[in-house]
Amino acid sequence: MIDTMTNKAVEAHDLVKRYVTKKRKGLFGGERIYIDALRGISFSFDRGSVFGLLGPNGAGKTTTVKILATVLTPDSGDAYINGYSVVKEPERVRENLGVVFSVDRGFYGRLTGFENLVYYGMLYGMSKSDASRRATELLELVDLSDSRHRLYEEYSLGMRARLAVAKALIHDPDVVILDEPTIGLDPVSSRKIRDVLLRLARSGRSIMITTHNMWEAEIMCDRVAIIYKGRIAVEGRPDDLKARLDGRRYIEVELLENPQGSLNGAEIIMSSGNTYIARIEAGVDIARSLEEILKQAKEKGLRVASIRVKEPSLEDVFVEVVGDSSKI
Amino acid sequence: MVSILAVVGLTYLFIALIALAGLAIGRDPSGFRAITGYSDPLSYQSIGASIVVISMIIISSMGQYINSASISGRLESLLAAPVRISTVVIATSIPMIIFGLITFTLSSLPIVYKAISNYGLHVVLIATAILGLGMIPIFVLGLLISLAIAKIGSPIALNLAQAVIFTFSGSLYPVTILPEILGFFSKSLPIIYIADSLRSLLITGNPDLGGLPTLLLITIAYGSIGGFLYRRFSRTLRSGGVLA
Repeated sequence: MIDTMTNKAVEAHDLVKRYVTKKRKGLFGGERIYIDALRGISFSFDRGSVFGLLGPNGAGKTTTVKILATVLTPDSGDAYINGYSVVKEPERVRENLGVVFSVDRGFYGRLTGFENLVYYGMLYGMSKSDASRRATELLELVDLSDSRHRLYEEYSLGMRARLAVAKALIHDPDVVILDEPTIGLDPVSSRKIRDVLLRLARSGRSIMITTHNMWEAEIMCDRVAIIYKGRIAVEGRPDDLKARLDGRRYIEVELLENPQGSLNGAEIIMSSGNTYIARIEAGVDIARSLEEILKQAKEKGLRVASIRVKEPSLEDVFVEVVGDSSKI
Repeated sequence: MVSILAVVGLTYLFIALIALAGLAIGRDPSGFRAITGYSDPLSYQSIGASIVVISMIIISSMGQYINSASISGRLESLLAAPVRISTVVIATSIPMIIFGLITFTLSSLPIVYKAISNYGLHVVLIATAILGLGMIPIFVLGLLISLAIAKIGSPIALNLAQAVIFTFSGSLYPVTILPEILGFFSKSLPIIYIADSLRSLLITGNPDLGGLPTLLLITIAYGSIGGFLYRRFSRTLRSGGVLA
């Protein structure tokens, strides 16, 4: 145990995790393959804050979550949840931590949402009456009161995601970790989840999310870390990380024709029907850059629907740190 | 309730089929008596069939426990909760055992009624206690199979195990007709002791408790092996072994 008086909700120190798998060779043979999921990662965040762990697929986010949740043991290193070691005091960690591993798994399909929550409440040592009371409160919080007596298998993905958040809170933990809580959800459901999480954060709970969604991380997180190939590439406040890009700004141009290399330095970031959004890195003199782009567009006969200057985003930081998309 | 009625209905159907086979053996009553020691082939086969059906249900349910928990994501939630998986498993066993007892009673109602009439309620109560005790090693057997499935990564282990247990259970024919080595294998399964004790109690009214010490030993042995393997499995699970 490090220090239960620490003001850190989560601390990870040099976590290493290697998976060993077998590749079949012939009928009976096999070759061992080693996958280094984590290569010594360290990070921390304060109590009462929201922390984001960002990274591409296979970076090690889920492995990190499982180690913090004591579902996996690290090969070396340790982590502390509210001062309790995941290696030496896993039972205390489990009492203090709520986890969402996947938004649509982990429940009994033939039980109702309410019954599932009561079951998990009792697993966490609550009496049936306490678990029932708590389940009712949480269903109200996540806006599932009307569906409490419907079978889980009848829930939509958005409802399942909200139930998963409720389950993570059933034992009133101080720290909640959510692994991609809005993945696959429509915008309305995603917003509902974010609203719940922000309300929890305002109530003093410590929250960690893993996500691909840079915009979501930017609006929700007090601190973020970008993990890549099992290592923490950068860690800090979103504004501080964006400042790494040396005040780089971008100009986004909405065009009604495909520019097809007509605009110098333009990268098509989105296209829909006959609308294309191109992004060009702006020079120091923004006005001059705008003028240059409009001039090029006019010369090439491209119709401009809109043009705007964008500050660097967390996504830009992500791409800068991780490299180009072929590495992801 | 629907599940119990469905199982009972299927059991009666199964008993009918097996009893027909028993009647084929029983065409020569002296031959049947010489082989089995019983002169009532219908009751003999009915008790055996009921026990086999209940055993297969428990083994099938427990055999898929880890696999289904892993696929559904519940295993991760269990591992992250401050409760031992063994506690959850044992708590799961209690309703399963009660389910087995109720189902056996309902599917053997004619025999139970006859036994109460002929020998008294105490005979049925002793039979119930023996059956309840016997469900424990069957439950553990199911868990051992679930560990095998988790290790192999394929539910085919369950199908193979069920086929073997069904064939060599000693419930549907006396194991004395088997070659010695296969008879030895049958005697390492708990089902034969349950079947022999229940037949003796319910058909003749005489409690043949000679197999009870062996049943207890088997229960302890299965439980010890199961506990050891389960602890190992739990360590493997947390080191990154078998989660879906």
